[in-house]
Amino acid sequence: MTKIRGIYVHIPFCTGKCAYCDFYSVKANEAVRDKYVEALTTEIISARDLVSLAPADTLYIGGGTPSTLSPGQIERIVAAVSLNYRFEPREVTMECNPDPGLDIKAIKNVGINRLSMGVQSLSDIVLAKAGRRHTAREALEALEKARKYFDNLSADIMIGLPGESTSDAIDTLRLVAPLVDHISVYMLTLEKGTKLYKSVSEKTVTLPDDDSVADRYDMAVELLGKFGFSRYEISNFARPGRFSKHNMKYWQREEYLGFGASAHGFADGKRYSNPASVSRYVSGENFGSGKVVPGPVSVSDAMAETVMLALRTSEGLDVKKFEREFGVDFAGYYSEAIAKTSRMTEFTPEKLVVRPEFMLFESAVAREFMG
Amino acid sequence: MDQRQSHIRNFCIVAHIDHGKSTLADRLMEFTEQVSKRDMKEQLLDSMDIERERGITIKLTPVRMFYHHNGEEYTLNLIDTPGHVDFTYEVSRSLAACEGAILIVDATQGIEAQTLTNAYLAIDNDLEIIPVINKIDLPSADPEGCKKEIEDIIGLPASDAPLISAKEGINIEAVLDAVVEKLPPPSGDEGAPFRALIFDSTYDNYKGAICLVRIVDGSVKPGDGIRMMSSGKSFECTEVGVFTPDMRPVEELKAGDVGYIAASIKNVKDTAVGDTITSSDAPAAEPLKGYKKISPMVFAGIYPADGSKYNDLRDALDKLSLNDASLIYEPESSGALGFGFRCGFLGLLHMEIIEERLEREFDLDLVTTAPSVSYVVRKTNGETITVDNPSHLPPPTEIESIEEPIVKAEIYSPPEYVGSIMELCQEKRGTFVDLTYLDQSRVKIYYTIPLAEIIYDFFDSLKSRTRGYASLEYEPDGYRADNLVKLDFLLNGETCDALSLIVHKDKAYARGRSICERLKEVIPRQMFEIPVQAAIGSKIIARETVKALRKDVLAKCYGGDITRKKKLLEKQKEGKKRMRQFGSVSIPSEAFMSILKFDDKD
Repeated sequence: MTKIRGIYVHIPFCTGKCAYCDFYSVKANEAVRDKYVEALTTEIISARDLVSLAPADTLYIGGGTPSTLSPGQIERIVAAVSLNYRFEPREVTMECNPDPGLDIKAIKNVGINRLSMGVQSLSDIVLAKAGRRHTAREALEALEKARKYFDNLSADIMIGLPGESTSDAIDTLRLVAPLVDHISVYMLTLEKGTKLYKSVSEKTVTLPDDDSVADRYDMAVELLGKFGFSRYEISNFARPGRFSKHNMKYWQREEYLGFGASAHGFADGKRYSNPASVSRYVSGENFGSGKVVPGPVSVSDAMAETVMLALRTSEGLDVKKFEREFGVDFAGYYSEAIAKTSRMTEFTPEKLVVRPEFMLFESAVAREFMG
Repeated sequence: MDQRQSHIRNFCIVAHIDHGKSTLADRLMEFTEQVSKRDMKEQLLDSMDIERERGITIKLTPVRMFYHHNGEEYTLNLIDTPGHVDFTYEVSRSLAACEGAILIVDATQGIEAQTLTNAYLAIDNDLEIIPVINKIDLPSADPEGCKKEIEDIIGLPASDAPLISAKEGINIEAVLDAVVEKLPPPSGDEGAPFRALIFDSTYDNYKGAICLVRIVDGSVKPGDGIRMMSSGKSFECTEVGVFTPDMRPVEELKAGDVGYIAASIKNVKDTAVGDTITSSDAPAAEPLKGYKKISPMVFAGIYPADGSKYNDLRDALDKLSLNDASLIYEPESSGALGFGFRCGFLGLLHMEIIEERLEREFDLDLVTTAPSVSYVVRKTNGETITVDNPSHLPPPTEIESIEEPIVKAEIYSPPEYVGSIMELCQEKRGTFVDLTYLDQSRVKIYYTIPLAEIIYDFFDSLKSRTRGYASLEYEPDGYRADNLVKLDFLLNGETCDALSLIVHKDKAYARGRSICERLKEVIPRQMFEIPVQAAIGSKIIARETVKALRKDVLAKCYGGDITRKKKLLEKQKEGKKRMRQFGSVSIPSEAFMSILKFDDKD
């Protein structure tokens, strides 16, 4: 493998649970956090023996809320990665929440060069209903401060949260866009097992209807275009050259190592994941002893993954590269799927791309190309 | 009478559902040591999974037991019978093979609708009846009240009816003693030409179609030539045997015996239930009295969810019909559902059971249309046709009149529910006939009601309005013309034949509206807008719209969890595959049954 990998580190700690979130996270005290960072460094070191040696150039510290760790703890993680892998840091991202006590300057100083701020909304009502633990003002102030230290700043925004109006969604983007280089705009997915799912089932909370959410999303795409952002993936918008290099690796089906409880990795053709348990993780159950998917991804799965991921990007699928990699004639192999989706896609001998106006139907296109 | 037959008793057990028939059968076998206690599965005779799970008996199962009474050995042949009203036909088949019946009455419930039906069936078949009062171990048991009911309502002497608990094994011996003492032995002529009544048939991959028989006269053994009296077809008998309850070969079956005959019969249709088997060398002159061929009451289209499984479905129906003579089916095709079968059932429960058996025993995924009844249509050109598939109804201009099947419905209930029951019957286009107080706590309400109304939600409504206390029993009562129309449903402008219904004109508008609303709920939004319309002829009477889908996309992959995303897409794709493609519209299978579900608005 000559590819350059990414490295993902998962920090499963939050100060509270957002109503919509179904990702693994726990509340933890300082002692647990410290043990966790200890276990992370152990995993990062021991994993060297389990995967082929390949260079890496992006590090993404995600969560959870990585900013629940102290700058010193973040530094130990960055150092462990730098010391043990052929790591040429082109992009080192950390996610954070605009919580009180967020020390942006210190984060900058431990080697992070890209910050991703979880803003979600700039309506206090929406934030409160979503169980966020900050106000709109705090989020804006955090962005303004981050702007001073980071020349690569991203914000996460959600559309379709309970209590959100069309103007809430648009105002949020209008205020955030000038401050950042990159925005991820996600439509809310109601996941089973979340607080929000329960409230919606019990009818104590209603969500904006699907059609309004789609309308808001269309408006968001248009608005962000006016601010100089282009959509390079279904939910991701960047100023020129500021797309997320790490996330692009996912969509281009490149490899990445994953460290931490519930982290996912893809190395040497195998996908694996660690158990979603901090207690098991700190007691040494981690990379390699985790839930490794047995055997490499099959060729047909690899093909399906490649198409499904590439269709999410505005660049689309590089057909020639696909044909080289899998040794098939794309047009022949997928003739039925191509014909069925022709209204929604642009297909040339070089590229298969979802037309911009059908981006929100990407799954419908992708399904046709699956086994 | 010969000595051998005087030591045989052929009997069955009849009861209302849940009164403990299968449990008593188990105890009788246990007591006669047919099956050792430790091998005893609950409800041994109920061999189908569905039977054991639902606690009901569907198929009749014979078993042979030995019992010593006053120093002599008796052979007792028990034929288990189904209890549910849908299976009356099967009950009457087993009755014809017996001389006597045990009538179980639940000491806590007293006589119920099917107790009566089955008791009268037994009386009609000239059987001697032994009443038995079960569940005497329960605190609410009222055995004396039960005896009185049996004497007053059925008119059977019940003073010495055994008081038992089948569950606890109390007084089982008294039942066996009564069988020997009170039931008459068979009285066939062993010297006469061989005659046996086929009361059921089954299929064995090695032995071919097997006839379950009651030998009436003469005898049969392997090597004998046998002949089916209805078709005249002859076979050579290869094996005869008895049920223990597993099949066990014996040397010979003689007059009075219950057992099976195998004769390398390839086609199950050659073992018609109710037919008489005789000897091909010395045939009997007259066949035995068979049973009235029962006609199905409820019809529905059954289609494979996956169109390519049509042949599997056909094979499965062929096999099922082998041991369910009441199931009839013929191929049909539908624009929406492709190729499948129109099946006729004895009732709704029968339909449910068949569906479940097809899905479980043959591993098929099915789409079933709403059940319908069979209409008699008189056309303007003088022709009369029978229509059991609403989409086959001729255009209104060619119809002189439509007659629908009517049933005599007898509803048994505590008196306090009479008002709401009558209201329900009225809503269901019923005609009041009679009301009788059976005693202080039971009323029999007698209505004639169109069968089509019964097969929709009558039973559920009845149960909910009477807190489960009322029971319903019905039997066909001819046909009656009414103002009936065909209600069609159009999806994206095209009539979906599998959704068509025949309804009373006065109810068509409300039904059309509510079904459109329901279809709108169950049909998922697609890439384009789908009008859902109800129509009578070319007149649209209701409309809903399934709005076009605006987005079909998965959220981000957190931390690179690609596998989860791929699985989600694959799951969605599976879901789409299970939908029916009707023109450009995808319809989930539930849509076809959804028009059955009613709520208070209807």
